[in-house]
Amino acid sequence: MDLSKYLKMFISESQEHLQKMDGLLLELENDPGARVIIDTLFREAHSLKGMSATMGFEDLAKISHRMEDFLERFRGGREPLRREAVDFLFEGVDLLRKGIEEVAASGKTIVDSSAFVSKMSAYTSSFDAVPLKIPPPTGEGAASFWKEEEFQRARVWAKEQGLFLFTLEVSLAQDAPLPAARAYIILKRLQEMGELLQARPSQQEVQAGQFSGRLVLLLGTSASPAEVQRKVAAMPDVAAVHLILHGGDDEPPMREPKLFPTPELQSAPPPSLKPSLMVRVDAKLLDDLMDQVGELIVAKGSLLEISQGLDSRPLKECVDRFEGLIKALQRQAMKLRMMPIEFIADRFPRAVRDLAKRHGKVINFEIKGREIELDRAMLEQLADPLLHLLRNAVDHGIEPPDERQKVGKPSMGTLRLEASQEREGVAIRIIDDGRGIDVAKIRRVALERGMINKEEHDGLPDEEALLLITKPGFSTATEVSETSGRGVGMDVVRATVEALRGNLQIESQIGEGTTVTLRLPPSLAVIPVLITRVGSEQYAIPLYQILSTLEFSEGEVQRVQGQEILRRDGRLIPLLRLRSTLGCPVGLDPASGLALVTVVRGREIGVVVDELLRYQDAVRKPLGKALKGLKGLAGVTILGNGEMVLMLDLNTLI
Amino acid sequence: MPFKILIVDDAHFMRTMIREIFTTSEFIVAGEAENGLEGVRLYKKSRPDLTTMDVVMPQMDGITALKEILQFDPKAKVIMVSALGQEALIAEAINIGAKDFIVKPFQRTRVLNVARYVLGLDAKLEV
Repeated sequence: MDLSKYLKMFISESQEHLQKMDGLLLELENDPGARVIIDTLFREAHSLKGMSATMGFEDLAKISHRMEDFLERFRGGREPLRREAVDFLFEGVDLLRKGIEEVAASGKTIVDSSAFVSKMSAYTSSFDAVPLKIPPPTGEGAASFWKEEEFQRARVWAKEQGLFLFTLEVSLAQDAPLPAARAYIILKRLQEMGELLQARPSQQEVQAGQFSGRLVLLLGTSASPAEVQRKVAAMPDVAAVHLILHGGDDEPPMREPKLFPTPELQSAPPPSLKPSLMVRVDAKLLDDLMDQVGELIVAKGSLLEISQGLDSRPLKECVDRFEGLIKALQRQAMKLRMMPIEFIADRFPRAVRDLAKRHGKVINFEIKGREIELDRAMLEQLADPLLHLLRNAVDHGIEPPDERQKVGKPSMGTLRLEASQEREGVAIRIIDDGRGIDVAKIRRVALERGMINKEEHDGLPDEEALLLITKPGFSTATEVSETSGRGVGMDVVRATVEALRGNLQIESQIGEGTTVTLRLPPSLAVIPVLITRVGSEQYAIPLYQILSTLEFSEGEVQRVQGQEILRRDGRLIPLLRLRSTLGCPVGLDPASGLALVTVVRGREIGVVVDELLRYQDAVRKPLGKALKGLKGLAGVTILGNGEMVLMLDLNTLI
Repeated sequence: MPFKILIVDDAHFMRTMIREIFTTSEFIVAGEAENGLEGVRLYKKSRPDLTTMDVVMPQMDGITALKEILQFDPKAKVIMVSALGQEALIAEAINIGAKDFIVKPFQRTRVLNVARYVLGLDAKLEV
């Protein structure tokens, strides 16, 4: 395929992205904790990666990929971003800019990504070694947080003066504006409360902006622990105060320590008396809002197209501002619809406990990633399928204690529900350490029931064979129910996940356990898509369903029993030509082509399209009644010029 | 008795925003000034409980106005109105005697929490 005609568009769009990243990095430098900025930067890097990879500029893709990975670590406030990290990101942006300039000049890149990539890796791993600049002082270890010498000196001094000695850990709210200035004020106020003997970071460091959201202090004061706790917690933007009173066995404190609450009791901030300001809103209103934001995005698209045709700088600037505002509005509207997983997960522990008891199993159930957010409508639909998967794991996965002991496992089984943010969406995993699923048995039963033929029985990859249990009616075979049993309702689970445009994956090892993974798009409403051309039609394909793109030539394609197979780097990728699948009339399939690699039911498939047109955020509109239920269609979306385009769902199409 | 607030800011828009935020029963806006000079004059006249002071203003900037107000009333409670990136100015203002700061764009509860804290009111609002 000839990508050269997209070169100009690629160059101008990349430059826009880079300029935006420059601005964002400047903001980030002043406010290293700003989540919104990190999120936006992440998305920018992500777009650049996708664009560069599509255009075949591997070095540019590698650089932006590295940056994206790097930013991923800091999303959602998981880790504080250090100031020097911003420098690295600037370096990446400069390198990309250089590359784009080379592309503009000669159509190819000379920049070398390797130096940057290895530098980033080195930095990241140094990061892993020392996750926090300041290790948390906890309980007994608090004294050892300070240098022995400085701590002893402080202790002696405080005793002489008749003061309490505290180690104080103060954390700021994640989104506190100007955190360094806030920290500076906190230090000032504490100096007014007593003698601030040590501070990490120090006042000078804070003034120089070296602050990551947490202060650890050694304070000598006459104020009681409760008073210190209350006063510090009352300061604006202070999210948590952890307080340790240093008494000491060898040297009794000035007053009887029993008079005061223990540090453990004190460490919990006093419960807020004020109810948080919440408003209940009908979900329908949120849907309507999202709908209208969608229309706005489409209207903005038209405006953008018109402005591109007119050579007016003020108009373009105005459109740019609109674009920014609309994006922010869209983010907020989407955020309104988001709910943390705990919204549904909180009812699971009880259910698991009751079930385990009934079946005589001993199970330790854990939930991770409660805070991960999903569209509320999706969450509601996921509650039953998740409960079903948990029930299966308790019923059929985890063995009774005596059986576990016999095979050398701890008698208590482990069951986990883990939610995590993944590149293009959210993954929810149900993991058990039970007996696993016997794939051979599944194959045999499926063959007996005529669900697969002999060839498939022998040749189906394990992952795909495991998914046979999600076929309707599989589980009615009583002979497997004791070992698998997982067929009961699995078809419903799969149908639900697929209706939410997600996919299901099952991994299992006999004797070791089973992991079921649900991968879901972050939202149903706005989906980043790739607009492609097939024949004379355009189709939108959700980005999260695409792993990579491949260009291939005729020589690489073989026919095996009527199926075209692409051989690439030792992989065999079956090809699906959208032209014939979608019944495009006229025109021969070109021998060479462009394939979008996707994974369906655990297997890579190359979906052949004629042309990639562009990326865009698409607002998904449901299909009308007439088309509803048609396999392979996710909905429609409207392009900037008002044209309607069908959105495909590769999961159900294939 | 509601606390009296004086708003000093050269942008009409910003003054309106701050006024909106302080429309709770705890506060009453006693006056608005559009530069430091006017701010100092109004301070002397109305003796507010709390003053919000923009940093960059024509005629007299916020730092100078802060100094003059403190000279007149060492117990004055002045909070600086800052934009992102003005850490150094805030540190300077705090050293001079400003009590705290708020940041544009304003978040209502944050602004109220700062005001309540400076005025010695208990119980933070949830941000």
